Amino acid sequence: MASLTLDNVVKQYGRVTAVHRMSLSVADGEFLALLGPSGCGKTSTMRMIAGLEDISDGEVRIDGKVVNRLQPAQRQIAMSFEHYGLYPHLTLFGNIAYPLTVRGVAERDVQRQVFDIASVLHIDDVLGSFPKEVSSGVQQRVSLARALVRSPSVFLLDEPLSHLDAEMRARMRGELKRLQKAKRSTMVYVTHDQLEAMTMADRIAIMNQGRLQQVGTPKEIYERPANRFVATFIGEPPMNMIDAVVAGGSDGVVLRGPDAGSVVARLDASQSAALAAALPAQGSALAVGVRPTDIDVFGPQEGGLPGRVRLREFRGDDVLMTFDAAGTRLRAIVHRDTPHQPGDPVTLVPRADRLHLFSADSGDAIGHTEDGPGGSRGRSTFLSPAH
Amino acid sequence: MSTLLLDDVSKNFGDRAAVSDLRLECRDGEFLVLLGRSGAGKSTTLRLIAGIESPTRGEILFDGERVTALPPEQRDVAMAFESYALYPHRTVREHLEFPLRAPGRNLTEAAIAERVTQVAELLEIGALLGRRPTQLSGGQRQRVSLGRALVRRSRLTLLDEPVAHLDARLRHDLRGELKRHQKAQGATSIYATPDFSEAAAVADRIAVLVDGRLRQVDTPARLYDQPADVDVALTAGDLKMNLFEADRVAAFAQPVSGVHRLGIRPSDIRVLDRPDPSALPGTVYVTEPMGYDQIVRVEAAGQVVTARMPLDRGRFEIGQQVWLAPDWRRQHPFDPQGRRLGARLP
Repeated sequence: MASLTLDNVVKQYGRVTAVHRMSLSVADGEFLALLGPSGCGKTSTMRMIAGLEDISDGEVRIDGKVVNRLQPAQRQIAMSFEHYGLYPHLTLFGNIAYPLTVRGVAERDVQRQVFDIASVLHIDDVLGSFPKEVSSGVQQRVSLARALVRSPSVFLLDEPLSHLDAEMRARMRGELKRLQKAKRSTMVYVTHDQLEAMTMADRIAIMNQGRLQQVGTPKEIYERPANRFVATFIGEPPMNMIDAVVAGGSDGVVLRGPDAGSVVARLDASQSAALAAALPAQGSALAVGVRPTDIDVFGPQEGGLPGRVRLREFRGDDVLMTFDAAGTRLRAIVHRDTPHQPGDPVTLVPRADRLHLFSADSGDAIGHTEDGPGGSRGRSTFLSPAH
Repeated sequence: MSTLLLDDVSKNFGDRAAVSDLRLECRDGEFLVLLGRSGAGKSTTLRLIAGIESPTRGEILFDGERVTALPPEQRDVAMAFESYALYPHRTVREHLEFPLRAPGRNLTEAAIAERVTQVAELLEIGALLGRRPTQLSGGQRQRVSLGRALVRRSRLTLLDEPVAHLDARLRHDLRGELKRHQKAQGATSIYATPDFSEAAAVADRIAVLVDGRLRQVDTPARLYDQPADVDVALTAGDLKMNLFEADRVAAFAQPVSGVHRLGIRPSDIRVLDRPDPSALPGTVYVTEPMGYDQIVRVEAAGQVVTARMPLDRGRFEIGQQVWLAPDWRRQHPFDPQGRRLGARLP
C-alpha cells in the first residue's frame, strides 16, 4: 500500500473549472472518504487520481512518485466505479479472477482469494452465473470484488454500494471497513452519502462547487464544521441555522433572535471571553448553528425562541419535532414522552454550550461554544430511561 | 369521507397468494401506513382498494357500502403509484390542473390556480411548473405524479412509496409535510413503504404486512414497544432487533418459561470495555460512528450482536475484547412459533 498526495491539483474543462487548486494527503493504510453533493468535483478528482482525466495543473503523487503522465494501468491503482463494465462473456467467478489469472497467480490461490472476497460480499453463491443473469446490486459487488482481489498501491471506489438496498448497503459498509482495516489498504472512497462517509472513513474530505471545504476525522467535522455548508451537510436531521444579532448583556454576549425579544442564547462569561476576538461587533448579524439534539423544548415561557409545533415524528427511542420558529423551520430531537403536539405553542432554548457560530457573509465558522472532549456531552436521547 | 374496510380480502395471482385474509379498517381522516418489505403485498392491497385489481375473495367497503364491484373511476380515490405515466407534451402545471378540470368538478380558475400553487410549494416543484416531463429528473417526475393525487382532495388518497426516488434530505423533509397537508384537509390516506423510520414518522397507525398477511395494526409506539411476533419485531425498527436463543442467554436474561427466543433492541445494549460477570463476553466486529452515536457490532453468543450507544461512552477497535450488557428487563419474549408471549391478536 502507499500514500497518495494531491498537490494543488486543478481540473479545467475549457473555461469551466471543475476542481480548484486541491491539496490533499492520504496516508498509507488510510480510509479517506471524498464526500460532496453531485457536481461538487469529487468524481473529476477521482478520475484525475485514476488517470482517466488529464490533470490541468498540479501534481498527483503515489508514494512520493509523480504519476501525472502515467497511464491508469501504470499507476498501481485498483478501481471500482459505479458503472465499471464487467466482462459479459466471463462468469462472475471469471470476472473477479481476471486480475489474478492475468498475473499468473496459481489456480488454487485464485480459487481461494476469489471465494474469500466473494463470501465477504455475500456473492459466493452466484459465482457460476454471467453478469446479465444477476441484479445490478450483485454486479456492483462483483466489480468491487474484482478491485479488492488485487494488491494495488491505492484503491479508488466510486459509490461502490449505490445499487444495493438499504439493508444490504448497511451490511456491506461494515464488511468493507473490516476488509480495509485487515488489509491496511489505502482507500479513497467517493460518495454523496454523508452517513456512509461518517461510518466508514478515518478522515473525510468534503467538497462543494469544486473546492475542498474541510478535511478531518468524522468527529472533527461533526463537532467543528469549518463553514455553513459542512455544518448543514453532515448530520441527519441537519443542523439548524438561526439568524441572530450580537448584543451585549450584563454577564456576557447575548445572541438575539429575529423576533422581537427573542433570544437564541446567552453566552456566559468564559464563553464570551473565548469568542470575544472572533465575534463581529454588537448589532451585527450572525448565523447560529445548533443540532437538533441540542435544543430544549418548553411550554411558552420567557426568553428563548417562541414557536409552534409543526410536525411530530416518532422514531422509536425518541421523537423528532419540527417547529415554525425564528422565521424558519427548526428541529429538535426530544424524549418520547414529550407532551407537545402539532399546533402547540412552545419556547425553544438552544444549549449555549453547543453552538456553532458562522459569519453572516462568508459562512465561515467564527467559533464553537462546545466543551472540550471531557465536557458534559450530557443528555443522550438514545438511552432508555432505565439507563 | 370515509371509513374504509377490507373484509377478509384475499387476492391470488394464479396459485400465488399475494394477500390473504386481510381484515383492515381505516378510520375517517386517518393516516394509515402499510409497512412491509418488497413483495409483502403492499402494492396489491392498494390496487385492490383502488379497484385496479379485484379480490379473489372478500369485500371492500367505503363508509359501510360495498364498492368491490365498482371500477376505479367511480370510487373517488386519488392514487400516486410508483410507475407514473406523465404526458410528454404537457407542462407540470397542466398535469396538476388536469384532475381539477375533470367533468363534474366546478372550480373557478382562481381556485384551481390556488390549489396548484399550494401543492407545488408543498412538493418543492413551484419553480418547475412551466417544464415538461423530459426536462425533469426522476425525483421531480415522481413529485408531479404525487401532486396530481394531492390536488384532488378525494375521499381517499392512496400513496405507494411516494418519496422513494427522492434524495435522503427531500425524503425526510417531504414525508412529514405530506402528512401535515393531508391532515389539514381532513383527508383519509393510506401510505405504503418498506421503511420503518418513514412509517413511524408519519403514521397514526401502522399495518404490518408479512408474506401477504396482516400481522399487527397499531400505533408506531405500540408496534415498537410490543411487536406481536418475530417478523414484526425485525420489520419495526430502523436497526434490526437482536434475537437470542433463550437457553443460550438464560443465565443472564432469566426469561420466563415458554420463551424460545428473546429480542433486545440495539439501543438497549451497553458495550463495556471491562469484564463484567453478568455481561456477555465478545469481540468487536466493526464500529460505525454516526455523529453523537455509534453502532458497535460485536461477535458474542455465537452471532453478531448490534449495539447502539453514544459516541462519548467509549471508542472501540475491531478485534477488541468487550462485554455486552443488555437491559434484560426490556427483552421481547417470543414462543417457538415466533409469537410474542402474551401478545394480543391483530
